[in-house]
Amino acid sequence: MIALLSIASAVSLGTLLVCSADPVPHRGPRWAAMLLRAALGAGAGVGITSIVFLFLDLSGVAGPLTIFGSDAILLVAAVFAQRATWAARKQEAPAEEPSARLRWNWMLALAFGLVALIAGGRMIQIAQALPVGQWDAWAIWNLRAKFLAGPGDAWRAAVSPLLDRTHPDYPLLLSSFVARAWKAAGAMDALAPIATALIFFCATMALLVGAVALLRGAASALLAGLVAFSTTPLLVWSIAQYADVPTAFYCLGAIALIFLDVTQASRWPLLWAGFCAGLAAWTKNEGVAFLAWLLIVYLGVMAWRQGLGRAWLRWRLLLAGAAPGILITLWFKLFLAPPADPLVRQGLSGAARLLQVERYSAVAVEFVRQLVDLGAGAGHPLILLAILLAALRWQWEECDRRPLLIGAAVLILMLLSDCAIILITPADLQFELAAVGRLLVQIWPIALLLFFVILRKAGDGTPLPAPVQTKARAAGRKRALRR
Amino acid sequence: MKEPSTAVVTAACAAVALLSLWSTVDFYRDTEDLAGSKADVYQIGAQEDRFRALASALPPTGAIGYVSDRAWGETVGTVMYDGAQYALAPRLLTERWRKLDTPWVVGNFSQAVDLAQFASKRGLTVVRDFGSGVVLFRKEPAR
Repeated sequence: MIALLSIASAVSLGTLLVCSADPVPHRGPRWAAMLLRAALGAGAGVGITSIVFLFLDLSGVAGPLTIFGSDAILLVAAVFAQRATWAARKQEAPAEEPSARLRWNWMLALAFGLVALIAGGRMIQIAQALPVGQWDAWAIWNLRAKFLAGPGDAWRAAVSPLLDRTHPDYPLLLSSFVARAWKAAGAMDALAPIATALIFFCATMALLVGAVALLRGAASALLAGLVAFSTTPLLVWSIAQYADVPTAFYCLGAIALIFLDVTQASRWPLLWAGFCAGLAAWTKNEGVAFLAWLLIVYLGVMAWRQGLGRAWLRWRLLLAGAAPGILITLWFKLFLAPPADPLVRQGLSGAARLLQVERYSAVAVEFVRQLVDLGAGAGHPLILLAILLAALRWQWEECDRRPLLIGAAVLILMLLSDCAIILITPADLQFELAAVGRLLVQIWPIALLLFFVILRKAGDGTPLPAPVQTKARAAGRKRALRR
Repeated sequence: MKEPSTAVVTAACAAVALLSLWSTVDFYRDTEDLAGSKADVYQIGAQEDRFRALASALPPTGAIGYVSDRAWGETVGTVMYDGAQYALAPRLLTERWRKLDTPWVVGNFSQAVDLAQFASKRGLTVVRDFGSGVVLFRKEPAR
């Protein structure tokens, strides 16, 4: 129970921080903004407290008192920050963005509720039946959490070269967060990793639905949620207690906030986008690739469309947001757990494998196979997307063009770098190919976000309430047009 | 591009809603085994009970030696090592135990073996056989 309390405390802290540095003020529908804040807050809270815990642990002072004490200090600070911004925001009435409305939204909401109930119920049953999670959970992520939660300097085992078969150089966000809950509770029960896995799954769904609702309206958002629930591997790998869905969450958060930045006069969306990208790097090595590609692509696209000077100013905000994740990951990789992965240690010898043509075909076949395995039967997510594309066709907003370009480029580069890693790995190719399905899960939520931004809004012309014009929203619009 | 009619939009949304419901029911049916009593195919959950008595004889942290009749490279050997490691963490099990300061070596066996012969071949002595293939060895002092 105390483990759950520590998790709730982390999530509350993150939510308060997100509310005080709101990335979506004056955006509607209001429920979608709240959903996005809650999802982002959960992820931010997990990320921040995992970093704080690691420092406490390495300093030898981690324990229930210091964990809840540091939470209390951060919570008080967040409450004060939240109150200050709340007072300033009360001056202005919240604005509802006009969005396409569908008369049958209730039907989509009902279907979404049913799907969430059935899938969620089954996921809880799986968690009960398999509390230790799947292979990587007990061989890597939760194992390292046990080391970090151990007494004294037991944490050293988590980065020990003796652990070379279970990747001591993998980033520690997930392990550190689970260890924090265990250390706070004084016992290593299965509840903490299960709750963490469910939080990341719910947060990913909420972030996707919230972001699409803010960008394209409620109907499109519910459709995106339905397609996401039809993606079986997303559900299975979530409850497996792996780091792939947390990575997907942070990658999705970064791209979604870059979309939301376009129509905001505030700097917070971009700072939070950077923060998410930084935490993606702190979650998994693929997150490091995501962060690098995002920083490069963002600067390139912005410089191309706005000139280097203005691009540099925006890029600095993204980098500033990513700084905590970058610094902790760099410190971890350079000083705490030097590279142990044969992939990194092989040097240039891996380049020779790029000449083996059969490896390309094996990787391509596996990607196609895993795309097919994203679902089953007529409810396959690709079939659902094809139906929507055929019926609604595409029509994106002019202001979304640049984020679309950034998101698509990062997505493609992520895929290519994943392929390149598999191509040059010194490990057994068949063994590496087994991870392709999880690599797809990492980028699938971003692919869905991009798809629903491109897709014409799902509306049938039902009249909408007139939008409330506020100073902040008008400024945001002007800024978007200026860009 | 011509805007789709209301009927087309509604029909597409209804189709997606129904098909995703179908897909979720499929997911429910397909994961029967994963949610059943045989979900833990590698018996990782059972390792904590199997190693409980041994764990109380070991120091709470630090590196401990590991030996087995199954090699790490094969699936069974890997699962046995990972299962033992997870059950005994935060202690760190390693097959490179000869260089360690600790005298303790954990034995994890898939079948009955001649423990005395196994131990003498490796410079170990049997401290205690806990049953179920779990054995505690001690390194013989270097001569």
